[in-house]
Amino acid sequence: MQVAFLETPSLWIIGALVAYGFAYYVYAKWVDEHIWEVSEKRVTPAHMYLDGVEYFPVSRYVLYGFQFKSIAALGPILGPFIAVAYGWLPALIWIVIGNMFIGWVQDYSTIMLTVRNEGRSMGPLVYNAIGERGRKILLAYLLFYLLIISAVFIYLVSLFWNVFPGSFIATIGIIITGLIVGELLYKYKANIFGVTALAIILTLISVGIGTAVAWPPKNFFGPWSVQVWSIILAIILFVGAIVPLPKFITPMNFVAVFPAIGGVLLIIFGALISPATGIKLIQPAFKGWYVENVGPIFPILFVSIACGAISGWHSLVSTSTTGKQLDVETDARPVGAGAMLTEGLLATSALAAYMVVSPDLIAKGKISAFVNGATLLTAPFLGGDASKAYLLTFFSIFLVIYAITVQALVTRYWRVFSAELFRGSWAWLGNKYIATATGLILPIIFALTGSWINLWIYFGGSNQLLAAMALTLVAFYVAKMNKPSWYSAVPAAFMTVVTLSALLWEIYTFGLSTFGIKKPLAKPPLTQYPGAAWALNALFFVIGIILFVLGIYMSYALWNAYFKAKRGEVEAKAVSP
Amino acid sequence: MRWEEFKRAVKEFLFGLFYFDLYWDTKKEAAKLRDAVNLLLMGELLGLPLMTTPIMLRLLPYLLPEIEGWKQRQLRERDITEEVPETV
Repeated sequence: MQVAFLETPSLWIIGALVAYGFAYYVYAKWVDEHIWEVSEKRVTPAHMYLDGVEYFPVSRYVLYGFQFKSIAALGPILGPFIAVAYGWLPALIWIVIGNMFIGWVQDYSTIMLTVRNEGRSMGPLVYNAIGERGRKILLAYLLFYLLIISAVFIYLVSLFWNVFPGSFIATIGIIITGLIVGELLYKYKANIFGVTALAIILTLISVGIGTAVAWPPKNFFGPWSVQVWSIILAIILFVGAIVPLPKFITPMNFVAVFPAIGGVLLIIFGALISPATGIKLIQPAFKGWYVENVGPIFPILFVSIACGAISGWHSLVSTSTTGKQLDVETDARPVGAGAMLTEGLLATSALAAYMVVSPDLIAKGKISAFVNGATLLTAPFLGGDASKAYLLTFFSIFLVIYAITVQALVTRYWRVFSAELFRGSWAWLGNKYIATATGLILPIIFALTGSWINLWIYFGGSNQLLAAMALTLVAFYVAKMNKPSWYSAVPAAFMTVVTLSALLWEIYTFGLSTFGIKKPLAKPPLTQYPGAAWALNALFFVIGIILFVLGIYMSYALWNAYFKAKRGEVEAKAVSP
Repeated sequence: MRWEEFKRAVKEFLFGLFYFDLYWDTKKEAAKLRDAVNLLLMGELLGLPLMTTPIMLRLLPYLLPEIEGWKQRQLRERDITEEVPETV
């Protein structure tokens, strides 16, 4: 069946491609040449501190692929789900504008910051700008951020295991595949291409078995099913976080990348050929300025799509890894800006998957809408109705595996982070087992409310605030170089206002229930226990206030440093070209 | 871009996308183990009061190429933000 080109998501994907092309070939090139004045002759930290392990030069194409794989995780896929509640047009506009003027600016510039500052990562860069207190507050901020992100991912995986029968069995199949791959690679030194083929085949078989068995059914454990699944997940993650990396996390990451990238490519292809497959836009372009249970379009839209438009986490990745492996400065644009704009394309495609599903699914807040949308887009060229059951399991697994691998890394990082943070009489909190358990139990408690949209907004808000801090930091260093800093300062100001407003909105929302003005935000079965629901809402209220206060302090300190640099009150350092 | 260069770019991109993470993680794990052995054998080079053993002298020719990078890794001031997971 053929439908009019304009009635399909195809046009919007092509439009976004053109916009990202402009951002890369015109705007980013201008910044690259006129602000940072990159040169192939300037020595990068990869050569300066070459040690073959942390610092070593990597080809721009390898680094581009790696950077894209690193940043393109669940954020760009899940974020548009909340944003599409306002209609697909505002979501699309934010993804495109965010990528063109903010997203790549941060990723590219933080790589350049590291390159020009002897390979320093975010902590030391913040320390240089605003001192030790600023660095400590950044760490405290990260602590809460890790808890919230864990709560979101643990809840999502548990929800998917509960909603999609067979997805748990398929997940276990893929985990076993990961274990086999780990043994083959590290113990038996098997050929990598043979192992790759085996990993792909076993993954597809796992999805097939999950689809065929379709067990356990929805609500298998009764009304507390999601919570029971989250405990099962926590046990898997606990083991994953304490065993050596090559035993679990490294091979799992390796196995997960194939269905993940495969799924992304299928969705992009499905959206592009939608005029031929007859998949039409069903969602309205615009639904309203305010959505019940979500909030006002400003600021919520801008924090709901986090990684797809701009993500603070990217600044941490860019400064801690990518910046240390850049061969020559001229590679920063294809790696930093190129990977971010490609991620923008992924977010646009994920949005396309939401554009074609029934508005009812979005209105009811069913996150399974992504799985349905992705299946709708891809089934017509992958076997039609016959393949739908398989594709439903595949796309649910696609999200689950992404979330589990990311969460295993986050839990492990939480453990390392706790060991670093808790000293003296608190050192027991940094113990390997206690820290790992804490990093899982607290998020499970957070996720008990079942109000994942509010959790996501906290995640997006804190993630975007991290981006605002990174952009202000970039503006500070650029101002020190006596170069035009507006290209980073303007997005930084916008993101600071947006994210602090979003945090305030969530504080207000949880405040209403904390002070008894509204019913606590909770979903069954927690609604049967109003006392517990209230306590959790009050906890989120307090966490919101803590995040807001930390955010305000960091923003004030960084902006203050920026204006001092603008006035020339900070001595110029080696960052100048 | 010439055909050969294009083929190389695609190959390297795919390596970065699918294999670089595994390659680098393995490299880091191997380095951790090697660094621990080096510390026992050559801790004296970093000022640790460890007795230099005849074993170290026999191994020196093999260890020599690594010494510079190893010393750099051991003596570099680290920050917890460097350990962040690459994917979120």
